[in-house]
Amino acid sequence: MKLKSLITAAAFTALSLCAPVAQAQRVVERTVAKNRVTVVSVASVTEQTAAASENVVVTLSNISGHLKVHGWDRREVHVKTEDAKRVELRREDSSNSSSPATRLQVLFARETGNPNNIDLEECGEESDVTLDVPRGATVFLKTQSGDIEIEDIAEAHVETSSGDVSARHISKAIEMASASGDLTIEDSAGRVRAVSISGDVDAVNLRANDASDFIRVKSVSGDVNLNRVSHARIDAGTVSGELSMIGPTVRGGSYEFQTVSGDVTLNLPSDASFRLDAQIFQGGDVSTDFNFSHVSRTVGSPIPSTHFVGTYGTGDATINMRTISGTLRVRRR
Amino acid sequence: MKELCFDEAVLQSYFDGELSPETMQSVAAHINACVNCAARAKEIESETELMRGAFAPEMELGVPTESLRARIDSAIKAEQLSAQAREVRKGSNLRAWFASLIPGLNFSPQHVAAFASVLVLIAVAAVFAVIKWQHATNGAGSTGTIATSATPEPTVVTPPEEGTQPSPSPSIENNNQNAPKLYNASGRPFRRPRIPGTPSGNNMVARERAPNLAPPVQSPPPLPDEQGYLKAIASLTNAIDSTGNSTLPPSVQAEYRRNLELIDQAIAATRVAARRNPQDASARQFLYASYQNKVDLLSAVADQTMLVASR
Repeated sequence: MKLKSLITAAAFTALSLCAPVAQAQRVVERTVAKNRVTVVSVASVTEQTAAASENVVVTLSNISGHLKVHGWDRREVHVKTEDAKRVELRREDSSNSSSPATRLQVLFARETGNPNNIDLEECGEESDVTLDVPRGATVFLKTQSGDIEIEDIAEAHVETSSGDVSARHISKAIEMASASGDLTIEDSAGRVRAVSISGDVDAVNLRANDASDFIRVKSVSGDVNLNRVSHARIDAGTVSGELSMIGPTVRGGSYEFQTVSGDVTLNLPSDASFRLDAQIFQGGDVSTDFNFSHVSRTVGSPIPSTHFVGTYGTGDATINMRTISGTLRVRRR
Repeated sequence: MKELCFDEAVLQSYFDGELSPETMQSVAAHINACVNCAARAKEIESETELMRGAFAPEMELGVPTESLRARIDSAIKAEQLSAQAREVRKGSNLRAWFASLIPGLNFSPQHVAAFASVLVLIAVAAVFAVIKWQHATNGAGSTGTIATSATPEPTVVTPPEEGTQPSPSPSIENNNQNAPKLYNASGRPFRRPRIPGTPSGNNMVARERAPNLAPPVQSPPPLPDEQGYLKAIASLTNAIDSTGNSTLPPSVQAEYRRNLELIDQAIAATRVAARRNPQDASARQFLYASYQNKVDLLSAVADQTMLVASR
């Protein structure tokens, strides 16, 4: 009898201990199942297309995620995302709805918890977005993080906090600003402006469309590299980053390079023709392997600076280099 | 392969700007890529800010710079060397004289100096007592300067910070050849301005109130174009402060602070040169370029803080 009572008590104890465990397991299973459904819902592809003029202006703001902007031959703007609940191309121009849009804004829906209330706004969750626009389009992009790729369009104006930005085949103008991401612009034409705080800036194979085009590139602590840029007006600077330019100078070109403590290195072809004006406030050095004519070198009078002026060839371009404490180098390729 | 995380000491050094530029870059890159380190970095940064805020009043007080310390050290060393040289010249005579007074005792130069100091103090006290006694005898109202033969203390004068009044100068003006030389910021001998009405030459004149002795050294006036830059800088700084730069990634904040310091140093150095040589075009260019660098940096940071704040 005693044994039976003991067995019964043990069974009850085991059941009472196991019940919560089983219950918890069921909760976990339900959660997993629920999340599985949610994931399927989020992964659904959402896209939208709108007729647009060749030089349509498209604005997209405040997303976090990978963004790819691509120019195509169609007179349409097409946006596709794999993460947002819904996406909309909203017209911002005053022309009637039957004519192609000249201004469009890309809006994303964000999950509000209420299926009947989906907020359409500029702010999306982490969303990977692909945007196809006519080749003559101008895009204004503002993102928080995630990389941005842009190619084959007329103009791009980009602000990002931490993502890298790379642009190719831009035909008219590009402006890029980033806090910590690297900025790259290559095989493009027109006006170039790039500002980065800690990221590098690389400009490769760029040309001007006309004499008014310029390159203005600034980085605080990142490096600035200019490679084969044929603009007649170039202004590049860093605070502590390195600055370099490789390639020929343009006849009548004006080149301004400035740093606080970073070094500046120019690699110019031996047939270059330029007048160099290089100044260092203190420390540092000016070094060159070009044989300059009309050389003037002043050291320490009246301020503790080094000032080098020289002409190479017929002095067709003007190169001004200035640093507080960096080193200035002009090398022959 | 996953990059190894940095320990707390390295992260702290990163925020204190104590790492080499290469290590700074690799830490910054790692913080950008590693969620755990970014969180730890943010924690360390907030603690650092807390400490910085707590010690701000103390930190704002004039703290001797490395160069000032070096100059003080070299001045002290120069004084020690010159004292030793004097001792070498006079030491044997003094020792002989003291030895003749107290046979059996061997005085070192330090002992002699200490003994001489005590004698000087006694002499000063005696003179002071005589003056007091004279005041008491003659009544109030008579003032004057007292010639003293006291050995001057080593004196090192550093140029005042820009825009600040110079600190009170030592109470003894002297032209003593044995006194350590004074140097200004550019390394040239510092020439204290002559005070009208005071005698020149080898007289050592003591005054009771040092600030009355040396008039404030006038810092060169600001250049005309500086005001525009200063206004722009003030406006941008306000914009950043009002938005708050703490929303920026920790690595960017660290780079911002590090480079702002670099630019401020450049401005300080070029400002002195440009204001002292207002006709020198290149000095002005360096100053304006430094200001422009600051404007560019603050603009970039202001834009980024606004971008992050618009989230």
